[in-house]
Formats: sequence, C-alpha cells, structure tokens
Amino acid sequence: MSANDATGATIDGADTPDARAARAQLLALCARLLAEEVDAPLLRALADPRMREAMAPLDVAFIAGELLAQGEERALEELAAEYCHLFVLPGAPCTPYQSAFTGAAMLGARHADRVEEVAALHGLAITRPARVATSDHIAVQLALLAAALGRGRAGELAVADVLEQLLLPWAPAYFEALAGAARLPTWRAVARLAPALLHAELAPPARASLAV
Amino acid sequence: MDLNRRDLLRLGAAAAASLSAVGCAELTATRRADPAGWAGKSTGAITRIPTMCQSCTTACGVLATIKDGRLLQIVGNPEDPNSRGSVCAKGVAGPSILYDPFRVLYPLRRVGPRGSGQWRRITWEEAYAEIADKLKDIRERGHPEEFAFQQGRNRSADIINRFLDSYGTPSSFNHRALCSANRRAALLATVGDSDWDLGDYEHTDYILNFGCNWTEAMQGHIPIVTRIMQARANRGAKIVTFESRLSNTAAVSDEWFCVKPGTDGLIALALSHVICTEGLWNKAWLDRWSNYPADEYTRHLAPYTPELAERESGVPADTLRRLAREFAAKAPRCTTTSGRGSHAHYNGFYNDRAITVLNALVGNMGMEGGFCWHPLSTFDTKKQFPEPAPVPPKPTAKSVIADAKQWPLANAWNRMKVGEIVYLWIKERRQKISALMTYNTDQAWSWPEMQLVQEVLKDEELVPFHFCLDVMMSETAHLADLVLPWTTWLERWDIDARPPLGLIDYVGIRQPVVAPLGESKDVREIFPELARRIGGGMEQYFPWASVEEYLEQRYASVPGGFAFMRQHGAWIDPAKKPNYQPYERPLDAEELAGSSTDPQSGVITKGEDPKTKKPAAIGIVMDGVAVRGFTTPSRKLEVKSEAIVALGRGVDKVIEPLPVYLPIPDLAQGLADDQLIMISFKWNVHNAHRTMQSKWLMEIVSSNPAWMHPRTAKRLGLSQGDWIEVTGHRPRAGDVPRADGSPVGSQRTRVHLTEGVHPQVLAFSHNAGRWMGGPIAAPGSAADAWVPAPVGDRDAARVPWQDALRVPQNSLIPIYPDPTTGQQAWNDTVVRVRKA
Repeated sequence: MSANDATGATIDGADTPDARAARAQLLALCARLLAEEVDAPLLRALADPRMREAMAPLDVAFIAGELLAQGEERALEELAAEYCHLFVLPGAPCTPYQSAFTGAAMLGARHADRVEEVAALHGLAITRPARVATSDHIAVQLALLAAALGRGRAGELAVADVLEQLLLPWAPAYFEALAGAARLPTWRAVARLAPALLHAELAPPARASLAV
Repeated sequence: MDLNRRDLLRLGAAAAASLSAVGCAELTATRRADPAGWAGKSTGAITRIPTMCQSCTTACGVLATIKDGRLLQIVGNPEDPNSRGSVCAKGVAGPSILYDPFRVLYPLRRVGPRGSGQWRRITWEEAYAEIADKLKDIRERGHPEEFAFQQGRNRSADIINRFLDSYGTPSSFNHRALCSANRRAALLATVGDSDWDLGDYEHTDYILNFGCNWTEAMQGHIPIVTRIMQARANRGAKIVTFESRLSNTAAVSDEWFCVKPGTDGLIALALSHVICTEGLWNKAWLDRWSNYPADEYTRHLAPYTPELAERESGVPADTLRRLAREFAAKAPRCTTTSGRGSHAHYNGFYNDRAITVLNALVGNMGMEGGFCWHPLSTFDTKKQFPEPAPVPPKPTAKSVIADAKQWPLANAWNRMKVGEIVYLWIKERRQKISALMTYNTDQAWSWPEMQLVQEVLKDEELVPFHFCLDVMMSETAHLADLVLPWTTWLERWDIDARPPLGLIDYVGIRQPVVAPLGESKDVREIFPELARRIGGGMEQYFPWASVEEYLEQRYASVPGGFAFMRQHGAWIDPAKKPNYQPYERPLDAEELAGSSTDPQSGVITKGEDPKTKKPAAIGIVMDGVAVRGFTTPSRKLEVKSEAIVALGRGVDKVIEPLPVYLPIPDLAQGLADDQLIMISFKWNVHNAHRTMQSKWLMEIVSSNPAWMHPRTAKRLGLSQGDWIEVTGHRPRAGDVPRADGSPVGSQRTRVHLTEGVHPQVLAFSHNAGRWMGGPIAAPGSAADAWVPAPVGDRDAARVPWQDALRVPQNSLIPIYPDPTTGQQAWNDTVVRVRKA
C-alpha cells in the first residue's frame, strides 16, 4: 500500500502480474477518458453496476445517477459539454497538453519531442487518436505508462522513465487542477484515480527493484 | 480511501471490460526497441519551403524551415520581388502563431445561451450539415442577401468571391472603411489608375510623410521601409514626418513635426501655396497633364497660407516654406507617403486629395524616384492568371448595408463599403440577416463602438445564425453558434501578391509548410464542400478535385507552372518594365482601331463602359499623339473633379471639386480643459487580434497605457503612472450618425507621460484589451474590468504581463464615418479625462 498525498486515495502497488495488469487497465481507462469525449458504449460501461461497485472504495463513481436519469442522449451531451469546457476550449482549465498547461509558447515542441523520445527508447510506438494534436497530451503519457506496466518486470525501466521524465514534472498539478475544475464526477473520478495510480508505481514494493 | 488488492483487481477487471466494450483503440502499441531508428529520426533532414506570410496584410515572401514535419523557423525569401528577403517580427513569430497553445483546433457548437461560453466539440460532418441546411433554406427562399459574410483580412478573395457570387449574396462586408477608404478614394478621384500609391522609394531623394507609420504598420511596410532605408543610405534621401505622435517612423525621420490631428491636408495645401506662389512648380507638366489651370489653382490656394497652417497644425510657417522649397527642389525625385494619420479623419478624403495634388504640382507623378503607382493591386487576375471557368455571375440581389448609398464615394470606384455602420444598421433592421459568417476578423473587439457589435451579435433575433471561421477563440467567435477551426497562413494555399513596390506586378504562392494542426481547414476546402451540399447549381463552379488542381490551372502561364511556384515562392515576368509615366504611353494601332476622339477634350473612346454604359475612354490626344493618359473621366490628372461633385449631388451632399481644408466640425467647437483628442496607433509587433495570442510578440509589447504630454498632465494634475478614467464621446456636430455628443464608453487606465505626443492628444495603441483567447491574449487582472476573471489556466499566474494595462480602445471610439467615403475617423474621438 502506498499513500497519495494529493487525493488521499491509496492503491495497492503490489509487484505481481495481476496487480500490474489491473493498474495498467485503470491507467488505460483514465487515458481513454482524457483522450476523447465519452461515447454511448463507454457511458454504458461506466454506468454499469459492477463498475459502480468497484469504484465504491474510492468514494466516487464515474457516472452520477442524476445524469443517467436524464436519458442517454442528454447525458452524452452534458458529458461532451463538460469535456469541451475542461479540455478542448482555448484556455481550458485543464488543457491536456503538457506544453500548454505548463505555459510553453508553443503546443507540443520539446514536451512532445520528449514523449516521443522516451517512447522510442523503450520500443513503444505512439498511435495518437485523431483528436489528440501532439504527443504531450496527458492521455498519451498515461497510455505509455499503462503499456510499460503491461510488460511486467521487463517494463520497469520504461515505467521509471515515463514516470520521472514525463508525468511527474506536471501530472500531479494537472490532476489537482482537474479535481478543482471538474463539475461532473466522471473527471473527478479520474482526478482521484490517476494520481493514486502514479503514486502506486512510485512506492515500494512496485519500485523496489529500481532502488539499485 | 484505500483500494486493496482485491478492490484493485475488481476495478481493473471493470476497467478492462469498459475498454473492451467500447472497442477503444489503444493509444500505444508495443514494438521492438529501436534506438538506432530514433537516432535516425532525430537527425532528420531539414527542408525549406517558400510561402507567403499573412501575419499582417503585407504578404512578404518567407522561407519556412521544417524538420520532422515541424516548423522551426521563418526567414525572408530573397526570391520574393516585393519583400526581397526581409521579414518583420510578426512573420518571424509564425511558429508561435501556428503552434499557439490556445488555438481553436476542432469545430465547436454552442450548447448554452449565445455568449455563455458553453460549447461542445462536434465533427466537420455535423458542422457542414448544419451550415448547408441553413444556407440552402435561405437561398431557396429567394433571399440570398440574407446570408451575410463579414471578412477581415482576406487573401483568398478568389475562392471567397466565387462562393458568395455562386450563392448569390451581395452582403459581403469588409473592413476597408476601417482601413484606407479615404486614401484610396483620393487617389482614384485624382489619378484614376490605382487606389494605392507606391512611391518609387528606392530611387527617391525626399519624402514628406503625412501620418504614415511605414516602419511598423502600413500595408506594404517591409517592402516600403527597406527601400526607403536604402534610399537614405545610398542617396542620402531626406525624410520629414508630420504626425501627432512620435512613432518609430517619426523617430527614424530627419525631421518630425508633432501636428494637431486632422490638419495634414491643410499642411499639404500650405506647402502647395508656397510652391505655386513662388513658382516652384513644374508648370510645363501641369499645363500638359492637370485638368485645372495652374494659375487658377494658385488662386484657390490663396487662403491656405503657411500662417493659417501654423495656427491650425502647430508647424511654424517659416518651416513650411523651407520644406516646400526643399521638396520642390528635389523634384521629380521626391514623393509623399500618407496613412491613417492623414486620412482616418472626418476630413480625411480632402486631406489625401490635397497631398496627392501636392505631388502633381512638382511634376513627380509616375517619375523615377517620384510618386508612383501600379494599376494592379495584386497579381494579374484578368490576363495572365484568369479564374478557371466556369466563373459565377455577380449577384443580382441587393444589400442595403453593402450599398450604403448615403456615402457617395464608398462604392463609386471599388466596392469599399462602410464597414463601421454594418452592425448599427442591422440593429436598426435596415436589412434582414438570417445567417452571418465571420471570417478572420474580430469585429466584437476591433470595430468602433464594439459594445454595439457585441449587442447585435448576441441578439438571436437580429442574427439568428452566426458561424465563425478563425484560428482562435476571438471575442467574435465567443458570440457565434458554430466556431470552425481555420488554418493559419502556414497551413494553407493561396495565389497572392501585393501592390508591387518595384512597380512591376508579380505573383506569389502561399502553400502549407506543415499539415494542418488539429482539424483546422481553409475556405478552399470548406466552400467547395458547402457548395456541393447546398447544390442548386452552386456546385458547378467548383469542378476541380483538389486545391492543387485549381492552382495548377491558375499558375499555368508561369514557366514551370505550379511546380516552379512551389519551389521558388514567387515569379515576376522578366519582360515587364516598371510602371513609370504610364499616362505618356502611346496607344498602338490595335488599341485605336474602331475608336473615336472627342474634338474638344481630345478624349479617345472605344466601345462601352460596362459599368456606366457610356462610351469607354481609352486615352487622350496630347499634342497630336494618342496616349493613354490618366484613367480619370478627363484622362488627365484631376486637380478638379466634377465626378465627385456629381456623385455627391446624387445623394444631396456637397462634395468640393478641389482639394480643401475642412475643419473637423466637432473639434472646431473647441475643447474643454478636460477634453483631449484620442488617437489610435499600432506597434510593429502587432496586427489586430491575430498577434495577441503569440507569446513571443506579447513579450515585446503587451500593454497600452494612455500617452499624454507632460504639459497636459500638469494641467490635469496628473503624474507618470497615475490612474485616469477616459470617456469617449460621439461627435457633437457633422454629418455623422447619432452626432449628439453622447458618451460611448469609459475605461480606466494609467498615463504614460511623454513629449512624444501632441499636447491636445491622448494616444492608445490598439494591441490590447482582449478578454477571450486564453492567458496570453487576456491574462486577466482584477484591475481590468473587461477581463471578468483569470481564465483558469495555471500558466496565467506566470504570464509576465499579468499586470499590463489592457484598454479595449474600441469601447471608447464612436462610429464616425467621413461623410464622403464612409472611412472611419479613428483619430477624431473627443474624450474626457479625469484622475481616477
């Protein structure tokens, strides 16, 4: 177990294949939620009682009951508007690009280069979704971590590089901003889950082998 | 909250199920580690692609340095015959405009009340469908004029006009009246051939500059300033500037005279007075080419003494005499320049008429080193690079707003229109608007009385449907129903050229140097698609399969064609010569075949003028030789213009046939102690709303305090940096809409004390006061009521100009058209100033 100071949430950081795979899946889900709007199949999956039950220990659900009560079409509209407000509009409070979030003069630039360098170094090819403009998008970086984690022990160095060189310099502040700005629970849940997942990779025993 | 191992595995399984349920594509894929491959990529080849800048309207040729598909650098293209390898900071900042972190990258649809800032991202398919449905309905109802198009800077006129003409709407609104209508009308009335004087600056010895800021802002500034500086270095050319503020142009001049706003025309008349009374003129040239006897003009100038000019403008009479003599002594290698300092006034048309005729007096018209022009303001769209067929006919529907008939010179030669009255007239319901497209303009911030523009754009009854194409979330986009992401000038195509400072027309190409960022698109892709969807015959005017195919046709007459243009960026026909003395060119036998000559005037006509339906003049017989002459009704340089008198008479307006000094009625009443004349100016690193999101440029200039003379400050009890409240007023007199002296708006700002401004003037630069577009353009500050709150970006706190002064000057400036042309009198606003 490891404690995450930012959110108070803790996630088991066990260095076992099943735990690593579970964390990788959760990172991939966070990446998906940050990469694009929620579509109908994803909404249904997030609203599934099994998901709701699994999220209960974190005291947050991806989809609120009131939202669902409005009907799927209206719920998707609201989620899309919230997504646009948080991530898409110029000057959005949680612009998902590291360059923009950290005040660089230009989108992408050295931040995107760095992501591509780290990915290439560890044999990870970035396949950006159509609506992700540059590789310094938070979703790309979380997906890289998920992919590295999915390699098991063989991915430990990749996990370390993605964490230390890409995510840790900005992701904690990013998720803090997201927690503050998100109106709907979908991205509040991401803001709670994602930093806890990052922290789980930092803390022993998950990183024990990196100590040397 | 703890997520133990059991919880984790359960949640991981649920996540996996979610992802598989949506069939979500993985963001990454694993491959074999290939450090060598990466190393190869990191040293990828660098390419240089020529294109044309559009950070302002000068359209300099540039070279874009590209590596791995990313733009690294912009430098000038030496092959561009106009800019010849030079480029300004706005062009160099291209990468920061292309990769602006706060660009609009996806189509957006409003989901809350208009102006609420609530949007959702949509697809282009959704956007196309919605726009096409609306436009199709309007067109099929038989009222195409109800679709209005509002443009700002437009370097894609070919495709835009093709779309609007094929749709059938005449409601195409531009910003010419906010820019240069008086200058253009003065030239067209006097010279006829062109609406843009160029000056043979490179070969001149003397320049009288009337309020033109060519080192920073004038259309053509880089081609102009580089030539003028060469003339100074190589020929010792002298520059004398009359301007109400110490601009960078005034600063590089040999002499600067800080004049009262609106008196430039009187200065030109006083200089003319000296030239005529002292016989410094080129009488032989005047006798041959002026349509008004030199002696009569001398009598007309009698009241305009240097002493009168001194009283009104502040320039000493003796100095004016000296300058007149110097100017005439250098003829014909002397010229004038003029800009908004002279023509953005209530009396601006007459000011620039007087300045133009001043040149004629010394016989420098069309001479090497003199006052020149070129009949083409762009590439040769008629003969060398014609529009591919089929070309749609011009609309037959009428637009009350575009016609703006109460300003008789607005549309007399070109369709200049009266941009500043568009939203007032929509508000007054003079023309019904069912759909509005805004293109590369931010009228909600950049138009005079911007509050009125905002009010109209917010009103869903007045403007039921508004879609905006821009690279950024402008103040205008904020008030749209759909916002479409536009490509920057580094991601799109154009066939383009600007008035040639070398006096030989040329053609250039704007081409994508990188793939469009996000889902941005250009009108060259959008309009053909909309035409196909609207149908009804529109689609026939867009037969080509791609933009490249269209451009291949347009560049067919260039040796090497489209491929040559892509490689070099520009082409100039080596057979063409500079446009010196075009009026003296003899007409050849082919031109004269079938012509007839009026025995009294000597004017040669042939065929019918399609516009006037009268015989079309092609030249004039001078001393027994048929020559081209000037393209005025008399085929001479029209010191006296009966044509403008007749145009005025048509709408019950008196327009003076000769250049005169018209005191600005509102200013002629005098100013109270707390009243000043507000003028507007530009910096070299900014151009309208377009540059204010560039961090590189905002780091150079980001603030716009009020410039005030120390004497004035002392009178008002103000010190450097004091806060003031400025209230702008509508004029109290004159032929102006709502001339009732009522307040337009107030702003709070600080004073910047400098002797570089006229004591009766308060000067604001235009490059500030946006409240949309992200933390670079609008960092937010409690001191600035126009920025509601920090925009929420964490970076906002670190923007170094967080506390810069940001005054949206157009909240102070009234709608104030020159009564003849409709040009906005930017520099006549009377403001009240009090310590805040």
